[in-house]
Amino acid sequence: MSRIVELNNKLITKQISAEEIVEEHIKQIEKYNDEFLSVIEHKFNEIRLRAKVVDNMIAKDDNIGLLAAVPYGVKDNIHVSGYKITGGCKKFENRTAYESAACVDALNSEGAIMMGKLNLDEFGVGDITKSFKGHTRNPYNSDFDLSGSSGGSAAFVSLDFGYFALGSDTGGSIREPAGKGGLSGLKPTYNAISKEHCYGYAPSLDTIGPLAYSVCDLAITMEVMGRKDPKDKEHVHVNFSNAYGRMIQPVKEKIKIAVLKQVNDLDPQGDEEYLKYHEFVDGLKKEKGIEVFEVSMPSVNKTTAMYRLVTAFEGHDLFKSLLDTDAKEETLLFDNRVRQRMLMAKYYDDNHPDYRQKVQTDIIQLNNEYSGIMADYDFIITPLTSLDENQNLVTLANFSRCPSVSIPIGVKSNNVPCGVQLFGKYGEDVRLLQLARVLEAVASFDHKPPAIIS
Amino acid sequence: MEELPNNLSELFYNGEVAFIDDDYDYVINKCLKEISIVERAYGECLCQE
Repeated sequence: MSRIVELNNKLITKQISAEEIVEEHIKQIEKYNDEFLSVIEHKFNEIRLRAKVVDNMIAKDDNIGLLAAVPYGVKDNIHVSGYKITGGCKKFENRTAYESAACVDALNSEGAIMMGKLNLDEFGVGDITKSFKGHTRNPYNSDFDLSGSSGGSAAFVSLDFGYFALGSDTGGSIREPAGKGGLSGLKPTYNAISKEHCYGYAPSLDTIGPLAYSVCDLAITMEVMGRKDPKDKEHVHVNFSNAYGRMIQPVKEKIKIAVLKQVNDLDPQGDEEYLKYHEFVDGLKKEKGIEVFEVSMPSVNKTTAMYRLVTAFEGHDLFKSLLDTDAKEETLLFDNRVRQRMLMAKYYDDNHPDYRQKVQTDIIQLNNEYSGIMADYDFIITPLTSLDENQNLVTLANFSRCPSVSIPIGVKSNNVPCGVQLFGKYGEDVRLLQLARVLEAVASFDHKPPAIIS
Repeated sequence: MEELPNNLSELFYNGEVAFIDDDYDYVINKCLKEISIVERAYGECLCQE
């Protein structure tokens, strides 16, 4: 059952009011945000007024939206009118957005209530979540973080500050924090959510998507956010209509799952995430209606190099465009890791001028291998992180532009959750969520960070 | 300061990106690690990590 649908039912039957819902989540933010640093800007009075509007509509028996009074948060590289838009960068500390991204407008038009802007790694660059505002901690164990760059979004949902959050995924930045926060995260088909009024990092890979407690909740949010944006010519139309209704239909046909030989060949060497992944896949083999096959994707062993090149070249161009002058001293306003991406682009261009072309050829090869596998199987499953530094598994979805969803499967001995990711076919996001729901039921992960239980 | 291959140190100080001295070890180590992976993948390792 979806938590969002459950909340909607309670609201309609007047078991709870919108004001009570937001007060409950404001309390959570006031209690835990200082310790974990998820929300970096909020306007509680405005939130309370929005809740009153929803309650008045219910009192008058007006039609309320699909997401009425559902609290959510927005990563601070996505514009929300009237809020700061910093991209996690001190240089833009005082920049305010005067127009919202289309996905935010769509959510608000369905009655969802934006609780605050969320911390991120500067411009979504890193594999941690550290901005000039601070370093977001993991609600399951504050000695650890949630990786990045949408760690603020993962902490927001994990700590029950709201029901879902928006993140962005250039190379796993939604799925990895979701996995470490005990949540599900969706990187939809490329541009299925309009990127107008969002700060990017590597435009050919950047994708906006949601994080939530369950794949059912992801489907409901996509029903709203995946609607056509007439202002964005690059928006890709994926059919999300009645996504929730379609995805909860029982899966009648046999599910054919592909696992990668290049992942199976690695010695887990006691790595808990890998051991849990293998245990989970072995469990799937015993499930009725599921078949698991090993397939080969040689290009996966080059994905770290490919990702580093694409993000260096595209990041360099983007960051340069954000500077006011050509003076190199101005780059000091950016974080070390952002400047490092710029430096690397210069290094590759100076020493390997052929790399820009070579990496494009490799992306084509990777995509041929990917589509070859997807012709015969429903989805590919892998762990979220690789033991081999040459493999960057999450990027398969960014290079192929296909949807990928992560689901949590267990908790490691350090109490930090871990998950797996499923890669689907281009434009078939709802089908992927439907299959992910089957696996979610097998994993039956118990979502509760110890901090909020106690 | 140790000499780096492929003009990386020169790039570090004379490139279009500014760094302060305190960043040196962190950034160079990160760059060398990345260059090693990328150049190995493309079969032409110019730089020893």
